[in-house]
Amino acid sequence: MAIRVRKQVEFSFYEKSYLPEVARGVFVTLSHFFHNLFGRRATRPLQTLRYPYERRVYPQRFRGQHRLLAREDGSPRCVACYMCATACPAYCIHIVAAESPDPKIEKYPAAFEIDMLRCIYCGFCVEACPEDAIRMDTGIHTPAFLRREDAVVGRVDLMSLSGQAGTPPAFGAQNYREKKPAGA
Amino acid sequence: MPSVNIDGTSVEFKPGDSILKTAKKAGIEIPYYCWHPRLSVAANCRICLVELEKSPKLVPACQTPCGDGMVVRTKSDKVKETQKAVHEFLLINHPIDCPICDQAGECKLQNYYMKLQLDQGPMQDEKAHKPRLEELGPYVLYNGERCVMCTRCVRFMEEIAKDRQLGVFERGDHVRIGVFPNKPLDNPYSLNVVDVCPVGALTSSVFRFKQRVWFLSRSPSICPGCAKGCNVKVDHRSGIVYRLLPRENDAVNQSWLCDEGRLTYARANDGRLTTAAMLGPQGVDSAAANAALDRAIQLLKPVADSKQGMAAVLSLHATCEEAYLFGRFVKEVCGVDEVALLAYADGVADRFLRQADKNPNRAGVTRVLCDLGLKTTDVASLCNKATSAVKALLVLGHEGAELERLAAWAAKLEIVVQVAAARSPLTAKAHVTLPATNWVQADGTWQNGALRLQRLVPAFAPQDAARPAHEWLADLANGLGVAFALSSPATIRAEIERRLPSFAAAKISTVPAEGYSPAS
Ligand code: SF4
Ligand code: SF4
Ligand code: FES
Repeated sequence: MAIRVRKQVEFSFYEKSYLPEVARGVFVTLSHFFHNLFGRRATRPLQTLRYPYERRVYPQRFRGQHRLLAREDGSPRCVACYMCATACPAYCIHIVAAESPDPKIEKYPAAFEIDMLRCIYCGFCVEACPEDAIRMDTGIHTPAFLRREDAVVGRVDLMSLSGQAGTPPAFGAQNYREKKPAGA
Repeated sequence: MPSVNIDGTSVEFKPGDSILKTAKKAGIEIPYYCWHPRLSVAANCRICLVELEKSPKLVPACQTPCGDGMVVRTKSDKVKETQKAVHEFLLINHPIDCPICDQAGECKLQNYYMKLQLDQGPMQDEKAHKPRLEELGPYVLYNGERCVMCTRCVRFMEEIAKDRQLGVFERGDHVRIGVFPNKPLDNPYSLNVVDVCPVGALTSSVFRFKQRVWFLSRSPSICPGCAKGCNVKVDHRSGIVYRLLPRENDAVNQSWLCDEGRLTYARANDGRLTTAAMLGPQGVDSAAANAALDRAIQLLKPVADSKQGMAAVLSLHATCEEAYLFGRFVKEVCGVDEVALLAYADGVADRFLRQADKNPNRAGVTRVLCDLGLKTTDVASLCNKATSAVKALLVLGHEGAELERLAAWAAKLEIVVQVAAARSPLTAKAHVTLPATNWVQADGTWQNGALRLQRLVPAFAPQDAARPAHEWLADLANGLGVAFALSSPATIRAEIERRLPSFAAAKISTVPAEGYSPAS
């Protein structure tokens, strides 16, 4: 078995004289301090933002508050299939399904509520949805609530939100989940 | 016994049995759609094709009777390939819209797709479109696109309900199940077609969209609709009952249920009482359970001391155990010698399942009370009595037709105590209401019109302050100074067996899951 020998770090006389090194340390600290305090945002090394005066631009895949998407005629895309409610590990989605007034559509959510206090923002609901009806691309942090009831967000409110800039559009030809060509 | 060789194992069979039936008994799975154990063989879905040695073509297992020495292969490549192809055909016009289909989660098509097919199929043409929401009758909706034309529903109506209300109309791409002009599917057994439909083509308008089936828990129970005592499965979630389905029992209901009985599921939810209530100067108000119990004891104390002036009413929905404890309570504690039975009026009966007596436990309750030496009467004759001789009224249960009348009569009384699972006209008049469990939450025994003893299994725990009625009665008795050491239904059953002559032979404490009829 080999024996490890620790090498002693040898300090030079200059280093051993102590004070110049302390001065160098203070200089480094101060230069960061002034740079961060007065320097330009783009070049300064500090990552901390002066929230809420400065806000980070979120990446497209940031999971913020949910929204429900609409069809072209404004009715909800959601078909009340409960896939999201089934996938949700926090049991925070409550749907009441009803016969859709549109004869071409089987059912629609007469009520659709998400309890934001229970939600863990895992995004499973978005993945489970076969209709691309629910997304978490609003870029909104869930705001603070003053009352519990306010944390339960209903269908109308969920449908009033829009995606943050840069996220794919909701419907029409540009739908990012294009239909698979037949036979493919 | 003759035997066939299925997949290398030799299986004995009853002469005349089909390959499918024999394989099923032996635990070998052959897929099927159109075959149903209680319906005639149609052999039209072709998913059950199996290979038979010395036969040039595959044969439908549901239709081919076993012969001695036959060699059958159900898992060979040829069979698998055929099953996949048949499944492709079955799905050719199917919209495959499982997420919005009510059958999803209990659909044979879905299960066999996962097992046998698992791909999109080569079909590229537009699917045939058919009516997607047709009201066949008051309770049954039909979606033609999801139908696989197995004709189980048609055969059910013809062979079991004996009422040819359904038929196969048109041919080819236009084929559909339908009713005849101006003749809706209104047979009293119509909802069974929803059960026999192996796919989501027939759905119940009552249960539709209420819950996805995978959220539901299931427990065995008995239908409270009539004296037949059909065996049911209770599907519930978070303490709410969503539907009743038939539970197989050859001796009672085979695998069927009448529509009326099925709809009694709502009784388990409607107006359920979960808090105690007391009548105060401002009317009926909810109260703490202990306070209500103390008040009831205080109110009943003078009656219990004098052993006079008490009237007792018992619902025919009570279990034998509750009836026994109620009987003992009113007799031993309050000196009552006659109990009025709260009942639903007689209804329609037929030759199949429905009985005229719409009360599930008339036989059990009357036998228990009679064995205890109590006379029985009905609510109508009780209400004809002058109220002057009656000081207090104790009511157990809320199910019955004459509640309005009873409530009007009770309004004149000094003391009214009610133990009930749900709100009724009487609740507004009762000085104390103690919340009890209903039939889906009860642990007890019912005896049907044919004297068959059947066990009720609690589906879920009582909510909030609700407690089984026997616990309230035992507490009341103990509070009034008569010790009732009967804490659980099991101890009550043991005591019933020991003390009541009618039940000495009928082993009420060991009723099996399928129930049993005492020899007497
Ligand atoms: S993000 Fe997760 S926890 Fe929140 S609603 Fe969706 S599935 Fe439920
Ligand atoms: S998974 Fe999508 S379509 Fe289904 S209920 Fe949820 S939001 Fe609606
Ligand atoms: S089950 Fe045999 S053909 Fe349908």
